[in-house]
Amino acid sequence: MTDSDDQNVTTLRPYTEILGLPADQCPPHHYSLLGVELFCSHFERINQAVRKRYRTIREYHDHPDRKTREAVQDVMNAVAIARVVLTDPARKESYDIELAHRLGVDRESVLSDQLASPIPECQLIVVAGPRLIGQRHELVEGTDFTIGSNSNCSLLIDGSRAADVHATAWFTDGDWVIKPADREKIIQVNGTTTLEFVLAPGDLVDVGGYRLMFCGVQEKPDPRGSAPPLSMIMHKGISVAMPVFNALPSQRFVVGQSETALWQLSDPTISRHHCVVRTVGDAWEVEDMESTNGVQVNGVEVLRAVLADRDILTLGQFDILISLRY
Amino acid sequence: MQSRQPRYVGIDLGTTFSGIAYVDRAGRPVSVPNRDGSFVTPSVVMIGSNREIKVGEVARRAAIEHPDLVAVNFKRDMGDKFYHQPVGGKEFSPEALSALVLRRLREDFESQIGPVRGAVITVPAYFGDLRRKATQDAGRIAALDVVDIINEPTAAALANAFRQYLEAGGSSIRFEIAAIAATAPSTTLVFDLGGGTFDATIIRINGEHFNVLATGGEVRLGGVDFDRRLAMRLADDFEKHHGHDARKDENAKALLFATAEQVKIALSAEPQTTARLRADGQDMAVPMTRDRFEHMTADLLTRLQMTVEMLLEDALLTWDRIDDVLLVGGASRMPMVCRMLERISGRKPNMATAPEQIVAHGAAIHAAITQMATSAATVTTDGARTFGSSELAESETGSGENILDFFDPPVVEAAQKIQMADVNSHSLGVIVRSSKENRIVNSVVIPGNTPIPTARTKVFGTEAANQRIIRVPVVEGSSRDPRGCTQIGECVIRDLPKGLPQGSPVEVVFKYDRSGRIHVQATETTTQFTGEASIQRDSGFDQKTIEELTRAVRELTVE
Repeated sequence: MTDSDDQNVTTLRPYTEILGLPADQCPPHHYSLLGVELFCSHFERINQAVRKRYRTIREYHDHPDRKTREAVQDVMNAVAIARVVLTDPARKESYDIELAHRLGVDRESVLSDQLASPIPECQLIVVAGPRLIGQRHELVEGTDFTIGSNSNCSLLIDGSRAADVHATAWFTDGDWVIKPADREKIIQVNGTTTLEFVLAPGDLVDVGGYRLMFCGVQEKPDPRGSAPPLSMIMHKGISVAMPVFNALPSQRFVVGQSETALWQLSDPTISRHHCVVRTVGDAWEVEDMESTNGVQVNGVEVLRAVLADRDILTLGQFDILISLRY
Repeated sequence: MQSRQPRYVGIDLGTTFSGIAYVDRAGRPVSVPNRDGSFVTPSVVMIGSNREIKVGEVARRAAIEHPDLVAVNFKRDMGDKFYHQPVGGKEFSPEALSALVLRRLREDFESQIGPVRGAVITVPAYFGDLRRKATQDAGRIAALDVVDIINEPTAAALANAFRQYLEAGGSSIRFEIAAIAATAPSTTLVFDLGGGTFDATIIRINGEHFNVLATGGEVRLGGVDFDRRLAMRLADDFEKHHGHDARKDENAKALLFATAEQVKIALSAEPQTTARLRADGQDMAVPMTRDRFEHMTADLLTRLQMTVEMLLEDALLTWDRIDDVLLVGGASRMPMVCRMLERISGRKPNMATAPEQIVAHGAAIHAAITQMATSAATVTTDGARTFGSSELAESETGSGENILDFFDPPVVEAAQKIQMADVNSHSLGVIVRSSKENRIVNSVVIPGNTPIPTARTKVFGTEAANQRIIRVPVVEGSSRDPRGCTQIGECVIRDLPKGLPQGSPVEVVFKYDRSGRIHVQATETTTQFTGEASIQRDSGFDQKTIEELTRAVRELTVE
């Protein structure tokens, strides 16, 4: 049973101790709460910040301490209000006027003082990897976009294959360019290892066991083909760094021991490039890449096979459960 | 033909209302009215000064006169040691208060239908381990054999699938359960906004297979929060006009909340209404429009919307994959809820028929299926039934019941085919030190929304050399920060031999079985020393506490 009297639970102050806002800004105004620049009017950026904040605070909704729980509810409401106000042009206008007055600043000069940050036109979408599938990350001109396992990175990826800062994308001469943080780090674009690459819409970037698709905001290509999203779940076998691997259609990725395999299984029973998994029309299929120990689907040795929901794919000593969610 | 043999029932133990139902011979779920003739019983308990108890509508009415003697919304405190305020001058656990409601439902059922043999109780899908245990304990305190705890949205989807078949012109109600198999596969978002909690669940129904794809929700967001917002605004208006704060006076406050609830309900039907307030001997009529109500609760509605959006994100689904949006729970009657869902989903949500009863119906269906599954009556697939009397006598000796006394053979045959697969609503992990981040973190082993049953393994290293004891705290929650998680158990490996190097491998195996039982085993793999933690949903209390509470509850006289 939880009760603050019984256990050694401490009361948290959500704004400072969970969201990490400076104490002198609490309670924060909407922009500070969301961590976007003052008077930001970029709809997508506000929505993204709302989702991020809401997910963070929500994890504490069941805190054993009642006072914390109640404070967390208030902050969840506050994030929701921020979304309501900042995404409704009429409400935002009157809020901005009132806020400028309260802070004693002039809105026009604040906006012109801010770095000219044009509306971002490009995004990186996570299309394969253990988690984060479907997430869209905006690339903002003038700001470097870093990818790695360090929590300061713009895109935080986990897993043993990701370095602290693994890769950086930046805007130069009208193009987005991506490169690994140093020569030790491997990134691939469209299946080829690269040291620097100028991105074009539709390019696929493999970094630290994740695959990202580069695309423009306007065209909004839907990465989802007609096949359902695929989850490959480690069912039997020794513990691996990434027990689950997800992918959206239309994808093609290699499973193997190699550094360059998108789902890397470091085990002697797995070949360097063991098999390839890809969508064909509305189905996912697996093909053996001349591996030493072969590929089995539901215990039957195959060279190439269509994968169905709940199939068991056997690679070396691993049994992998296929989950297709229509 | 009415059998007086003990039955299995389904109980919807809600924050504001509860209900009970069973499945009749023909496989049809039937709600049983309470002694006041209503299918729903307010989850309200009044404990008088001489320890007499009132449950339901009477207690709800008494709340305005005697707010200090009445407990409401105690489901929200489930998992806490005590209800958030004393009732009749004494502290009560939420389990004991819930047990009183359960007992009342049982008595009303037994006076009309017959004895209760076992019960399935529903909980919000987003309830964590602690609250599920507490619900099970409430059942035990009420002396109910709780055969299963199932999720409210799953129950609603189950009952809805039955009803859809009926509405599609299912000719013979005798084959209702069989009929589910005949409907086309579909994916439904169940949006369940109850009095105190909110659940959003995506369920795929394909023949007899019910697969929950993902679930999300809020355990502290429901109709009462909309009431409260309205009540605060009405109190502000009153204070502005009369200079008296109605919130300071317990009686006026209770009246204020009751008025707010009525206003909310009225605004679901009419664009405007008038709230009549009374406090400090003064009356005031406050006109209230639906627009104004929606404006003051916009953040609550946005939270509902965000929860649904995040659920789809987590389930890797887009709206074009959702065939149906099903509204359940009294609070989803608010027009703004339906409008919001239509806006984001692009389709018109369907209000469940009798949304207050559907969850109890689903629970009853699940109870019947459980009863039939445990019964040994065999039915061959071609429909020819082999119920020889000798066979039955043989197979039924253990339970002493004949399943055919309760259900027609086709119902039994169909029910035995139904399969339900759920997901876990919360991540499960262990608390470890991350050497990379150099801090204590929650390392998730089974992420939320994993189909259950499941088993997962993760390997960690010991923190120091020569470690003789290893403690592995088991937590629920997806936050990397342990402060955001709830500890639900601990594995301890003791008496390890001396001289183990730092980073010795410790393998942690999590098993999550169909009935929600969590089993964790930690093994130091070089020595094969093992520690186990079996985290059972059966009870948060020990047997002695349960017995004490059962006695205490029994001693409380019920009018």
